[in-house]
Amino acid sequence: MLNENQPDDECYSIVKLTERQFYEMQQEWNELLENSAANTLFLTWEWQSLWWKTWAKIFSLSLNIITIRNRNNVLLGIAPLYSHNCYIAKVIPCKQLQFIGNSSKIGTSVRSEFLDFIVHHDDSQKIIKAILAAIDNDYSWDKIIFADMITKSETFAAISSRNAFKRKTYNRSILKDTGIRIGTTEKLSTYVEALSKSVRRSYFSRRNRISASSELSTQTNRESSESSLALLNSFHVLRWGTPCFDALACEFHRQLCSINPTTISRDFSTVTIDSDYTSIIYNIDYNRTRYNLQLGFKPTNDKKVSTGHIQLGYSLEDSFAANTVDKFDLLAGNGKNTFYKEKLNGEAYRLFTIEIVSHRLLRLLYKINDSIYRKRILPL
Amino acid sequence: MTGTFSKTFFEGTVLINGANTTTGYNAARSLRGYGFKIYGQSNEDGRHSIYVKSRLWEKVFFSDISEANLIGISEELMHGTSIKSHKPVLILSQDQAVDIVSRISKNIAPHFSFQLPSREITNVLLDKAMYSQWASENGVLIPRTVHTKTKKEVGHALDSLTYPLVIKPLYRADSWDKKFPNDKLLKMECQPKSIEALSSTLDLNTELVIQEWIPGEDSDVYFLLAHFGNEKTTSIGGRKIFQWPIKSGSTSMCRTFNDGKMEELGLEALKLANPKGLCSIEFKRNRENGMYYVTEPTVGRNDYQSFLGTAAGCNLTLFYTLDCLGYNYLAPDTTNNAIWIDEINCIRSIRASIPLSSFTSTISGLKNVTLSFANFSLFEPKIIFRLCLNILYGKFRRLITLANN
Repeated sequence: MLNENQPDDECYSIVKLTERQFYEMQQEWNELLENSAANTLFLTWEWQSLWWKTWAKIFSLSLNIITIRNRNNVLLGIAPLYSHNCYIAKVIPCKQLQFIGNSSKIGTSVRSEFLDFIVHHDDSQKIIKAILAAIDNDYSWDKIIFADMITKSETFAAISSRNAFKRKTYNRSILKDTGIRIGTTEKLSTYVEALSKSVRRSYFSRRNRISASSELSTQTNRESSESSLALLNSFHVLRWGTPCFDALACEFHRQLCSINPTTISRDFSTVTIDSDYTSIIYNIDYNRTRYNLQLGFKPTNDKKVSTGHIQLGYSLEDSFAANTVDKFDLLAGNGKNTFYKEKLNGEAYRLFTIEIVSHRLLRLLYKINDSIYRKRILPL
Repeated sequence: MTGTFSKTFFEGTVLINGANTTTGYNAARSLRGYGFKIYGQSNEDGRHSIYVKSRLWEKVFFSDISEANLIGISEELMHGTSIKSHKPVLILSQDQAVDIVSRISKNIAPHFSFQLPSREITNVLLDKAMYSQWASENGVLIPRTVHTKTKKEVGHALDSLTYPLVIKPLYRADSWDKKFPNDKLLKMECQPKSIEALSSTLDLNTELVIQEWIPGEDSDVYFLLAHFGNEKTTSIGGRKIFQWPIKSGSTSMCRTFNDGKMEELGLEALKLANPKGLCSIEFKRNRENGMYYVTEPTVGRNDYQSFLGTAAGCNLTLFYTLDCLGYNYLAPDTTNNAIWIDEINCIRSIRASIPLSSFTSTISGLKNVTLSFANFSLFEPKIIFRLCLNILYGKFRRLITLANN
């Protein structure tokens, strides 16, 4: 199918993928990802296809991946989307498009961040424009949810402009989150010196206090992902009352951890005090970035000591020492009491979840809802 | 343009300097409805300005621009927020504030997010004398200019330059404002009979800039408003229609002017200075030789007529804010035709018998024009209403004084 909205003289072919085509395009997908600005763990073919295998059937999702190729059949862009039929307020039928890797307002899966269109960095704006035009020409959807998109992305810029779509839309941001990323290319000592005294003490010095009275040891690269995930869950139940991964999420991560470590390298590290596990961290290295997916820890009797902080301190040390890592990404999400991540002097970034509503009645209802909500929190 | 946005689409906190000025108020208007919390800063004198009473402000801080005051304001703005990493954005509206913030930029950088060129460049672009020297060294076409400090130097300048000339203060101080409240500069058509005659109206022993006059009308003044962001440069061209006072004042009416050549010229002249953030440049087209002369650069802040860009769909204040807050944005491929009017000064310009032919020729060819005003908006009509009341009240008081006398 040729796109009618050909940007300039370039002629693009836009095709929706079948499930089989999706499963067969690992190499092509990842090659494009490497040549795009969206090269993150969550957009790798491995993460995306595994997510799809795990949740597509359970949530009754239909694949809606749009690919864009040039005249020479070279893949230039992928919009990794799916469609889902639902009811808004249990009454209004709605067909919504979403990114693969996110199941906002459908059910619980795993959180995938930095979701985006994957576009070749040459002419990225034109390709995004062509993808948006293809989505615009598809009149079957009523709402799109672009979840956990970094606000620095070009796709974010395109969809936050007024003329992204020809049809009338109402655009709203429904979730605004902040993530923290720490550069690990400088010397660890320089980084630690720049931290505040209390953070330095909590993350790097307190361990000495423990080791003076108990046997403190660390273990990296634990073999068994199954027991590691179980340990993470047990710590989460202790702290939050619920496990961090349900059965399907555990299965997803078990399979992810079994992937060839040359592309995606996982690491479960633990801290033990007197042979008792007190914390565990789950990191994945991809494209010179270490993603901290989870951290779980047990509270200690000493109120001044947080084993979670100690665990993170060790993990930071390890990241600074590793030649294969340039950034340690703590991802989005608050701690239980404070947004502890920002005290680690990293670079803050915003992740937005945006809804684009085209259904006439929904547009009106959302507008009314937003104006009431806004008036309640921000009286003019 | 088919998408509408929720009024909380973005998030972020903004502090606008000069909340008591038209420029500051218009910057706040440019950010309305995007989800930002807008705060204002004004000096104590601005407490009675109509602009500080606008609904746009969450709060206006009445204190001078200084390091301690700015840090105090930032701490108040950040108080109670769960995430401290997103600093408030600082938008400047006054030259004096640009100068101060440029000097203390390192110390306030942990408290505010802002974009300014280097201290050296800011100095050059703020200082008329330094700029004229820098411009001639860098091949920027400017009118012949002399910087004087003494009566003797003024005498030399009056002898060496070609008339007509304009005289303006290097730094506009209260002494100038008291003598010439509406004039940015004085125009001299021919050489005065004696320097003494001139010294009776002007203190010649202060720092002055004496410049050759470029022949032309108000409508020969063009300008380029620009934002030099972290990765993108966005700009929009404009042309003045009226100024108040005529031929020497600030813009009272202007229009968008899409001319690639003029835009290129403006961007080239600005890029030479390696700019950052908001800036603008003003040219005057010489009616005799058709050449464009740079008459005035503006650095680190919005220009008086910057709201023209907002009306035309090229909202530079928004782009600056988004860039500072870490949002990507798309600069528009095309802009609308727009006219910006400073209502009160525009009436004064028209009353000062401007030939209507000049007006009609300047706006001819403009179709589907968006009209925008310095003070009037449907969102807040009380501003223009109060402004008119203030003027009427002033006239009434003058009448009473006259009657009493």
